[in-house]
Amino acid sequence: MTKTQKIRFIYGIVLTVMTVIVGIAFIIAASQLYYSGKDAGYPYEISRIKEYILVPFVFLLCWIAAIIGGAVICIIFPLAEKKNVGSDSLTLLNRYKSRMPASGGEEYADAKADMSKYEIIRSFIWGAAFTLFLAVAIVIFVYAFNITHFHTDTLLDDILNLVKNVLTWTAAAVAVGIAAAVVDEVLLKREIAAAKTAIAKGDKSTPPLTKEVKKGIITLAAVLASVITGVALIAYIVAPFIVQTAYTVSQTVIYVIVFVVAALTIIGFTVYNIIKRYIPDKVNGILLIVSRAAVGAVAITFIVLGVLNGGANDVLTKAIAICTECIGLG
Amino acid sequence: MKNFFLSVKNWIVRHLPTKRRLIQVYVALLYNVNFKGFANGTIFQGNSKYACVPGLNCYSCPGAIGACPLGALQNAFAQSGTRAPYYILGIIGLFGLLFARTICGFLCPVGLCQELIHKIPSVKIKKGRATRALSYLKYVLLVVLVVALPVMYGLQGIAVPAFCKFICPAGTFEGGIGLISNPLNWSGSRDLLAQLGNIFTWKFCVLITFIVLCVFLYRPFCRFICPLGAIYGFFNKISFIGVKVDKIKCIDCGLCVKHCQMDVKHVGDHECINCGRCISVCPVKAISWKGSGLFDKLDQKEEEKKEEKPAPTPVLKSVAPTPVLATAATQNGAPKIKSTIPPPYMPVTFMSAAAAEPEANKSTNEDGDIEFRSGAPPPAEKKARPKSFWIQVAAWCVALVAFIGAVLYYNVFTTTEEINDMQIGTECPDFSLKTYGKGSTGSYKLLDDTFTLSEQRGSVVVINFWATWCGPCVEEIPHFNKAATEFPDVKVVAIHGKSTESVPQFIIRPTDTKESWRDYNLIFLQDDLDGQTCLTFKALGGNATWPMTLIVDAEGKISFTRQGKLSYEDLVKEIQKAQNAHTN
Repeated sequence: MTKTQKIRFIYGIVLTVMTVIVGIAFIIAASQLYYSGKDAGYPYEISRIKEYILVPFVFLLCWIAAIIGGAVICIIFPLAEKKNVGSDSLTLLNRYKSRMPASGGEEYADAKADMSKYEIIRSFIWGAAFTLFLAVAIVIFVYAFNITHFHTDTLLDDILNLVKNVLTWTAAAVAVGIAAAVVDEVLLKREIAAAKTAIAKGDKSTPPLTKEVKKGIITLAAVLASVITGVALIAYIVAPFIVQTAYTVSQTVIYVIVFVVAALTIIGFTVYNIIKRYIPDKVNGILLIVSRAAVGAVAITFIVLGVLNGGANDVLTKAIAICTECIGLG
Repeated sequence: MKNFFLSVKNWIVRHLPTKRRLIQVYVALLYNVNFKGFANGTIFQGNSKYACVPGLNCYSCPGAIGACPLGALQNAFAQSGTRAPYYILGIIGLFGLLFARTICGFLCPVGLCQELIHKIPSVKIKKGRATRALSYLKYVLLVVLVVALPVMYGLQGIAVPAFCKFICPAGTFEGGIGLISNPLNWSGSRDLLAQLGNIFTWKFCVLITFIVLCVFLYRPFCRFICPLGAIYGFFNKISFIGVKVDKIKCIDCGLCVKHCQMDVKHVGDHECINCGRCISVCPVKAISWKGSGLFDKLDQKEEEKKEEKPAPTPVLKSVAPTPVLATAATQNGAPKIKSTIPPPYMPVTFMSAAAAEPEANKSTNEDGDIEFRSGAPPPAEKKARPKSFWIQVAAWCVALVAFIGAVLYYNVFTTTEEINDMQIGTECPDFSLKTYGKGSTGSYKLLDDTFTLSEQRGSVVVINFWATWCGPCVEEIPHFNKAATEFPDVKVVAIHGKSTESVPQFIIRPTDTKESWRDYNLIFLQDDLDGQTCLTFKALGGNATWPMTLIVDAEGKISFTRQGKLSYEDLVKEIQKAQNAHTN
């Protein structure tokens, strides 16, 4: 590390720590202000605010001074522009694959076999992960769109229950996604090493392998998964309506609209991605024009319908009133 | 010392704002051009709020001149039981088709604030697979907080804009802090400070957390939380404005993705905010703006016209620096490439050698060519700027004129109505309003019978202003009914303001958790309306905050006034105070 880099690194660490401290100080002050005054009725009186915010405010001033000082440090010790080098593993692997010869000796064959093995494991990992994501999406939908989970007289408790249920599943999905990504990265690096071996040991007189689009199984799985999800969502709303009329007409209409739109979106995106991969660019261009025209026509129609049915007045009525909930009143 | 000032100058030059930054600042100011709202401590209530601004900008901000699309969407979903949300869906669809996530990159004040905070030097957390996985959280928030919760509670008659209420930092900062930081809102009937409670504490902590995160992470709100960005991301592929990749030129080097600070997998996907930074790093110029072909054609036509005239021999050409690894030899390191416009748009100037060089330095050789004396640098030849440059200049001029016009309109020509600050102990203005009740045909409707305040002298009167679209108003109505039952000699009236649906239907309609109010001990009245203004609400000190409660004692004087939701305990306490004051 050069002297400039050391100074800037130390400054960066110091400011990082100060930033976290200032943030925590403000959060503690706001919480103390609320909890110490809530029984009295009005915790946010101006005199109490002054009393509690004074300490974090002093920290804030020190932090601002540190930033100004840091600007001076950056002027005195400027850092040279960093060059971006390297690409992510997947891009690197694709580039190596495009340079792989079509044939070679025993070591080439072993390297290729290793690459196939890693590809299969990676496909399996992501297939399992996406299946879990879809399952989590269904669970979230089913919980969030069940009216019996939400009561107007226990709003905050119901919100907390929603957080406990939905957030748990979401956190699990994110954790699985991160784990899958980490394992994928490890396997990619191994596959890159095998690709390098294949290139080194392959018969360089043969032309490189063309890009193989081995996406058939994954594509089929994605389509099936999305169709199943869409059908499950529709079934969720239709079933109680058939078995017993548990919903009012307006609830049913809204549920059907929301769930059908969700199902169509999932299916639509999957189909769109498949179309993009397999059809020529010219057709893609026509699809683009058609989709733009369709979306534009629907948008303008909706705006006109909205003006006619009073939706525009609703927007104005709400916008000219202070949204007490938005700003935290109450 | 000289070196220090030179370093300062170089630092300033390197950190001059880019065109994108200028657009972001311009737009942020334009969205909040009602500057006098900050001085008056109130919000703009004019007709420009029919329209939504494309980015996230709370409509409770004192300066806001347009509605927030996300807030409007949640309110529309909350009322989807009575009216389909066509208008706001159409507006969002149109914005998405035109700009998609270019709005995030150029037209969102929240994005601007995050980028400015991120400039604070510190340890920076780079993007990775984890942040990519976390970026899908915003879709969960979109489904749950923007769609599900407003719909679920809306079907029960209460509007709950869940994202605005529990998460949105723009509402806390622009609306909350913007309003409560004005001393005019600290006392009297406009005392907003006294209304702050646990929701504000939670939202303030969320705001501070985001501000701290912005220092270490690039745009954490946009990447992980913003449902509006999630919606616009769906339109990225089909929008008219944005970045595009020429697949023929592209060599899959991955530099664009590597350089990008958002969690993109490729340029133009649903995470791309179309900021244009990747355009300058692409080594083969495969990335460009959609529609930039038009400017290329304009410039090409001009070049073709100029080729017909004999051009002077260029001897010195200052060329726009190659964007990827361009360095210039300066005393203190390489200057950063600021422009997001690809090289064809940067002005190229060079001087005609023959025209500019003084005669003393020139001589003619045996071939008749002009030669220059050694040691004298050949001068550059000046070239006219391309048409696209003048189009940009014209656009900036129009934008400046529009901004000045907006400032004048909203701050000079638009008058702000005076707010009646109803003080405790003053005489309450009289009113006479029509009541809701059972008509001769048996249906519940607005009757011709009236309720007059002055006729209630001798009784304590509790006046509550509410509206069907106001969630806190609807939540507290049962408290007023309970108080009316507990204090039978107190008159409790609920005056409805401007409605977005049928009030009689709303009053009598039961839901899964809301009982019918038909048999409540409250007297439901309808305020007189003048356009968007509720006259009695305004006369009794109402501004823009719903609900509002006043208690008038037996002598007709105001004994209590509150803007915002009132708990049952506080209501009972104030009623008892009013009764005791009369007794004393």
